[in-house]
Amino acid sequence: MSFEQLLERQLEDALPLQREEGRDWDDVLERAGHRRRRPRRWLVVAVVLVVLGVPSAYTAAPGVIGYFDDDGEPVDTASLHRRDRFVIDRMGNGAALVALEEIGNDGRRAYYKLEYDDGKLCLASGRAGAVLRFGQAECANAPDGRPVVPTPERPITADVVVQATRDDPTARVWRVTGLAGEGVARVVLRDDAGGEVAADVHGNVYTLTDLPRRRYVELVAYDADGEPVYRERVSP
Amino acid sequence: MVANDPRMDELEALYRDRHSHFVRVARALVGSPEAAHDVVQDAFAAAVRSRHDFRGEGPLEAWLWRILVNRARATSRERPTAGLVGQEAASARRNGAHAGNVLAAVAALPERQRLAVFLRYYADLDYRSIAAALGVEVGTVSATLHAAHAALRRLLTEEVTG
Repeated sequence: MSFEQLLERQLEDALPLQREEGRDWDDVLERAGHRRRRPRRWLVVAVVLVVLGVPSAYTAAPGVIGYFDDDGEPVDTASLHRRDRFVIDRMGNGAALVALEEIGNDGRRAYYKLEYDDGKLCLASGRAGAVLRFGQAECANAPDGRPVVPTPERPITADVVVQATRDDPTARVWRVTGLAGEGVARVVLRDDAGGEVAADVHGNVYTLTDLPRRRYVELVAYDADGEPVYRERVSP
Repeated sequence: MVANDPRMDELEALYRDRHSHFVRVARALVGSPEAAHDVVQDAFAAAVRSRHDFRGEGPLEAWLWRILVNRARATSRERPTAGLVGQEAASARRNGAHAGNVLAAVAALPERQRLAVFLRYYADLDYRSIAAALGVEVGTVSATLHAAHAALRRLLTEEVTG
């Protein structure tokens, strides 16, 4: 490791990047003397959680549901921003990367599989087309060492971001994204009043973002015929 | 009016895309999270007010960094703290914490070197943007970072061997 890499790592450890903390554009406008454009001030927080809950598959659904081919398009690591290479290094924790593949992309969010020479598999995702590709990353904790990808038992994955505001300090779901396996065509987020927000699956990915501040209770996956094939509760 | 103002849209997009980097550099310069939040908000507010003065002679982001650095300098002069670097350096000297050692070393650098290090590693800026942010030539940035690396290598080696 070069001195510059060592320095970068030590500086990162000393003051890690805190993503999406305290962003408040309306406050900027107010300080600048502009009229506020929204009545509420977004103040704090975006916490990444994984959807928790009790899943239930619909065995009556026709066709293959949930199978996911995690072979994707190879990505040249030399093309990556050094910050992303830093993430790769950190996730490897001493192991060398042997393959990086884009395994899902709906034009809004892209997912990547990272394979290391010690057998470890990690999953990273970020805004599609962004210079910095990896907004978040996690390594597999499953007993078989596979990354968290869709399975017939759980045909969608879900990365949930929640936010709280000064006016409403209750954490609310703001974004849900994930991978979708074979046969899943649409993903719907339901709130406790019966309302729905939906996203179609493209490139094995769905993206539900800038969600209205409601109390969401359930995530449901549908096949191309509009039949529900899977559901799980949302617990931010 | 805010509507139909491309420069305003650029500023907002920059704020949303790079906010965490601005906060991190501000935090390193002024210390507390609250002060860093104010520095970033005030820097962008100043940019909003004077956006029509931006001539496009360099990247908009570099112009923002210049405003932020100046805001942070002003805040540091007003506050009795020496910034996170100074605080962490003191803590490291007391506790021998590894992560603090590098900040202690950075704290020992001259101001321009310290700013160049932060803009390079905490803001991920290239040399051209750092030059625009600090109001110096690109060659000066190269020389400044080279000197900073040499000094940090020496200081951190002394930590290990001394």
